[in-house]
Amino acid sequence: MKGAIVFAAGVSHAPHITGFPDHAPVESKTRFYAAMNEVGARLRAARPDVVVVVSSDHFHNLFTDRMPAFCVGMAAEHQGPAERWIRIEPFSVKGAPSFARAVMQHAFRLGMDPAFSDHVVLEHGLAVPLSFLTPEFDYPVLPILQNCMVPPLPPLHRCYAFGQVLRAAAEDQGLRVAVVGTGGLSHAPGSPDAGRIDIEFDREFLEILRTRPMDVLSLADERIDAAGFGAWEIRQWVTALGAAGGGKAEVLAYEPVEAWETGCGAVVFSLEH
Amino acid sequence: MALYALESYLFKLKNDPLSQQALVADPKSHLAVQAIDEAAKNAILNKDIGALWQLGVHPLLLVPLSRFLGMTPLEYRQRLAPHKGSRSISSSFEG
Repeated sequence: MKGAIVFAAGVSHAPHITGFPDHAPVESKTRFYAAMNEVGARLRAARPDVVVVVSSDHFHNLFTDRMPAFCVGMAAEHQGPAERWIRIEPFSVKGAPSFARAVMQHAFRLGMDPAFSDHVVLEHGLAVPLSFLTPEFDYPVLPILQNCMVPPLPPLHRCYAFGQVLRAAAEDQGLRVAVVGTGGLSHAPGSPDAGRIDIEFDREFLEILRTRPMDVLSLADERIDAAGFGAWEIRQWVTALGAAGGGKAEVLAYEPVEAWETGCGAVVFSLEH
Repeated sequence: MALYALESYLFKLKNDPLSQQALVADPKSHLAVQAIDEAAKNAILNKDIGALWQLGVHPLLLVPLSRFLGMTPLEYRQRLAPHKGSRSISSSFEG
């Protein structure tokens, strides 16, 4: 059987989403939670064999003593969450070591050289989305960590290319694979600008994904910087876009939530074959 | 190198409960043996998040430190507020 990417999405992963749910205006929380649950329903309806979650790592697994642009989590099982305060009960989830090895092989074949790790702790970047998308933690998960913390960062086109690697590996392995890119949108956590949300940037980004997704690769670094360093995490959405083959996004939600210090979005990509 | 040493210490602190307990139990003794400079040690002892911000520490290493120091989110924001606009975070490698 020929495998395929059967689902691709981009969602925000701010820890406040589950850590402080009731700090948000009730309407914003209700709409965003509904959108995340809808993304989850669609993901599960796609019957994936593996769920690839692409996230940044917020200094739990990786530091600047050795900071890869991309890191593939190889383990047969993963534990989370790293942070107890995000109000997600401790969980274990199956990994996808065989598919992880295939991803490494296809990365090398396609001219990319990710790092790999046999021990990735799932922190909020993965745990928050999974708590909505697969709340029973009953789908094998392949974590991919992208450096969105400390420059030099992987350029957008390289993140897109990594999505193409995931697609090639899925097709070759005969697996049904879901890819979820997590992070963003505008935010600058822990800085004096925390809580400032660049609504104009967020809406522009979502509109590009909705109407002319490949243009996202031309977004200027300076414009992304101006939306706060947390906006660097749109790289994960671009990786999911690459896995989807560049298909247009359906925007399910956008909620600028100051109390969560984040412009929160959720999209599902159409799959180009 | 001084910033790397400081951030390296904060990374270890963030992920090591024993170091967190040591900082809470006896901050001076704990910090005395860390390979970070005196300005950084004094800033941590004084909960001077603003000074650490000015030293260039990544904000996602400052936030967990503030928790271990017993600071509330409001106190953290208040201490950082005077430093708004004082430092830009750029994706430029030269930045």
